[in-house]
Amino acid sequence: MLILARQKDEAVMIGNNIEIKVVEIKGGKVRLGISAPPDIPVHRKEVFEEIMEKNLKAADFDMEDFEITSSQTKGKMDNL
Amino acid sequence: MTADKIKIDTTRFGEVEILKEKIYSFPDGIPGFPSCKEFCILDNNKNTLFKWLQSVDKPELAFVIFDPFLLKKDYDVFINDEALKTLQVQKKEEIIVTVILTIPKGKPKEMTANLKAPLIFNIVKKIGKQIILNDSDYSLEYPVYDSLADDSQKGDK
Repeated sequence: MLILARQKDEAVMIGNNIEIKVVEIKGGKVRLGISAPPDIPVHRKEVFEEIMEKNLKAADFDMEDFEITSSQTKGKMDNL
Repeated sequence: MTADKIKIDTTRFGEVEILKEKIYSFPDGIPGFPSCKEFCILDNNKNTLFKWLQSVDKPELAFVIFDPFLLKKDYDVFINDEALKTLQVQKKEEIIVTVILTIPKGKPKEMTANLKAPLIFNIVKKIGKQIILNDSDYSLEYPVYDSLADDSQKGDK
């Protein structure tokens, strides 16, 4: 892993069009400003990890439980 | 079997024959399953509330999906440019939004919907993607049983 020291208002460039700038340093917290093209997804890592864990749980369902759910609910969804 | 159908193996549903038009490519995979890039929609004839999103190449991988607007009429989905590009969306009529249901083992009544990360489908181009609604505070575990329960079936069953 490349490690760079940056001060407030300094930035790093990743490639030609992604800029990450240190906007504020306060206590143990660093605020970053990220400029990236719209087709580059930027997420807080922990949010992405939460979604990942949720998906792993959702994919681990039992058909028995599903049948119970299915027998007690009603509705209709759009055609896919 | 005709040319517009294929057979796939699944752990939960056995071997199923599906129309090719029911297959969606997920160019980014799904978080947690980055290498699974093809999924198909399986209809659930017993209960039209739910469908299954079944991985084409991983038999054990399936999700229960349904229409989030049945839970929240004002559910607000912002699809950013990155996602619109991946999904090759040209007009909004091409889009269908679904969410993934989590059914905890042995506790089906405690099922929840992930409103934070809906699945977006382009039904014309047959492309899907799970997006993350970063700017909203929708829950990953929105309780759904009471909203979806068939009243005639309610009670301590």
